[in-house]
Amino acid sequence: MLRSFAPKTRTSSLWQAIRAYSSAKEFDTVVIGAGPGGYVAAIKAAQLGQKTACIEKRETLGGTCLNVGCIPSKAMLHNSHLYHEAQHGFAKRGIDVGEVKLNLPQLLADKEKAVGGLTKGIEFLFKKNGVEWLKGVGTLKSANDIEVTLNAGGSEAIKAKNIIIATGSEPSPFPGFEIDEKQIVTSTGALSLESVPKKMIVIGGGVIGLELGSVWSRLGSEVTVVEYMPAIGAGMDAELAKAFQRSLSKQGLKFKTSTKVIDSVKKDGKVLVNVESAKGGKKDTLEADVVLLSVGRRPYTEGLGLENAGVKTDSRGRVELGNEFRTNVSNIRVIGDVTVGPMLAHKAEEEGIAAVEYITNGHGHVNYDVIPSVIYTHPEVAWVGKNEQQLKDEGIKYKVGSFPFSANSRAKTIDDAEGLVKIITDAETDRILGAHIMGPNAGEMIAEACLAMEYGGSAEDVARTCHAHPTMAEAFKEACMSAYSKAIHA
Amino acid sequence: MDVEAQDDGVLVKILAPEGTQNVSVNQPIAIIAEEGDDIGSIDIAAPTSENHSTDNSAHDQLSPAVSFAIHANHISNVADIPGSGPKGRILKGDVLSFLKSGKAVINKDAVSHTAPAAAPATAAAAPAKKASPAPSADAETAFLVRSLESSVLRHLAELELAKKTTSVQIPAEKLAKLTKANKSLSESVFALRAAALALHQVPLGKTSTVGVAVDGSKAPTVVEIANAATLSVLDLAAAIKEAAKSGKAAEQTPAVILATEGQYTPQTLPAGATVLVVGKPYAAVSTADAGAVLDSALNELISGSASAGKAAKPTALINVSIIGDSPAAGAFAGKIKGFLSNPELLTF
Repeated sequence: MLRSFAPKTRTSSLWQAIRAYSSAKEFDTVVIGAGPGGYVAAIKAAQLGQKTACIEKRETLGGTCLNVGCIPSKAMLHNSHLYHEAQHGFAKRGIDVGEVKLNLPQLLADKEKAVGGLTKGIEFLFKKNGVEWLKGVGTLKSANDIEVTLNAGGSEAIKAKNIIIATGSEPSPFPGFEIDEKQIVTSTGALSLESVPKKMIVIGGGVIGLELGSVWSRLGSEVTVVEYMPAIGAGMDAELAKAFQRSLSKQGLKFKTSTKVIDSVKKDGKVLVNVESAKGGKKDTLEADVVLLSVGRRPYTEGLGLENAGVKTDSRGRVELGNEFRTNVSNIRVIGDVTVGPMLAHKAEEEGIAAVEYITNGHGHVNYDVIPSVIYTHPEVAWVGKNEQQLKDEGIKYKVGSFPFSANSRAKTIDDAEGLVKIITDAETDRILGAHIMGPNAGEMIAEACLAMEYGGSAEDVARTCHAHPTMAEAFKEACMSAYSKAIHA
Repeated sequence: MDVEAQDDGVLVKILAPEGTQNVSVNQPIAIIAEEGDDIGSIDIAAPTSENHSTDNSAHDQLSPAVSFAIHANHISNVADIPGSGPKGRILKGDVLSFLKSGKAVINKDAVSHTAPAAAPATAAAAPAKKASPAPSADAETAFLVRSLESSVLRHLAELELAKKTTSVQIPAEKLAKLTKANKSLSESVFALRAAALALHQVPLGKTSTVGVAVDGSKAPTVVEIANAATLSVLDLAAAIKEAAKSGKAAEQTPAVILATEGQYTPQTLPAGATVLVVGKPYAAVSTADAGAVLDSALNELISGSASAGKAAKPTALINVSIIGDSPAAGAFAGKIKGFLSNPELLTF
């Protein structure tokens, strides 16, 4: 009984010194990293009866996602959208507001509140499920030994039967750019800018760049997105990428695609970015108050001590992944951004659960064919499965059905009708191979596609399922109708 | 942990020996043969593995497109369609390739086997004509028919039982007072005492013994309660408890058997015996009072005020069912009612 009062997470240095001399604590499973992959794995392991610890050096749980990623960005996307709507959209709806002003400190505070609530929530879940949170940096000493350098000072040696590495990723740096998180920022800095930059350059037109570029554009920045590839959206469906770029351009974002970034120079409080056409030749210099570097993320393994346990990484620094999420060291597994695969929080969560199930049941499963992607701009973009180019490359015969939101009652009636639903099916069996959506709540709608695909559903199956009227979901149904036969409303 | 076997029998084979870890739910752990079985010739089927147990259930879950395709194409051998979806689900593609494969049995006319000679004799249609008895209904229809059958059978059984039942309703207040006083006494104990006494005045058949039905594997076992008419209610309650524990079958079927609701079906009712089932007290307005209650409610509506006096309060009643073919059942029921309406007579 008294054990529950023993300080677990806040240990004083004196207590710490005493503990360093006691015998090492032993755990069934230790998860290193408390991001969406790590904390989910830790909770699942505890629920399945494992004596579990989770090592996290940040003062709050939740990793990049909760603290400086998914969550704060969605809060800012939503609030900046409302601000933009109030300024530009209310009048035509018959709502006359006076001058709409931005209170940036309050906007940021609201974001912090959302983050705080969720990170505290994870702490509560840890306590509820009996996961011990070791606050510090975990370093592998051997296949079963970990040394935790505690934030509070001192260190603690622990033993683990099973280890799950879930240390995630960090923004990739770019040569020629010195990140100070004030003028040259990564996503972390972009979520906390203290004033709206007059001009902002976003380097990298992927999900993060487009989302954060959208936020600051709505708040008043002049945003230019520089992208090396001919299209934005990090390999999304080509047809949608074109439509998406058009839509964002209408919202005021400027795009420089097929453009290579050379380097940057800070001058007179501004940042000058030297660019060049990707095919070589035409050079240019762009000027901005803030530059957002969003060229991708790289695995984070600093201080992990992989070499002490003999864990191998590949040429890109990712921990090598074998069967059952094992590394080359059989009792050490790896999940999430730090290893291969799409760098998505939900992918890490699925892997976390599967890895723990491999440990406890000997069997786990992740269906990598049905992992959706979402861009939370407005309109949202979401997709799952294959796109046309991939199917062409694989030589698979396919059919396409699409339906525009401009023909969807709900979208039309709330005057938010930009975008379309595109369904790609197998030409012979009508099985849904991919779904691509641009439009209101695409991120929610994609779940229907994922469910149908998990069940091996055909477009006709979805078309013959009743969808409520009037909803956006009907557009999904009609796109499926269009794929196997004909839509009614288009 | 201890789990009591549902049936009696002889332990023939132990599949999961004592101490086995991680035995999953639904995994057979032992095989019990019935008493009298020839153990030497028992054919013990190999325990089916998890993967096969789902077999037809995947076929029962037909998605909209699949169901449509089956009906539109009049496929009658749905069970033969191989499912390539998750957990063996039939997908639309499976139906399409099944149709192409020629293995589909098309049956446009489900009733008649004598298809007119002029009808196009496709390779698929020919096997249907040669097929033995009725064409197998598709999975959905089969499921519906099974459900209908079982509810009809259940209803028929209830009707049959009702034919043999005489019911009496007895005001419960006096009995309630007595049963509250002592935990071991219940309405059933009083009813059995009443039955034992009533048998002296209204004989039902040759014997005048009473018994209690104790749950068994196939049908309840009837245990006789000796000298029930001379035992006090407290002693009778103890005797009933003893009987339930001993489970020793009576040599001769008693005249009246105390049972609980649903313990007997028309098939398991003991021949020549009368079964007594006592229900729990419930509030009811007797038909005589119902008229008065309705009047009073109407008066309230018309006059807009609560009228006192005429409204009859619902009374607590107990339902006693006497199930049996005896011609004297009606008279017997009347005697039971008489005794139970004045239960103090039973306490001597």
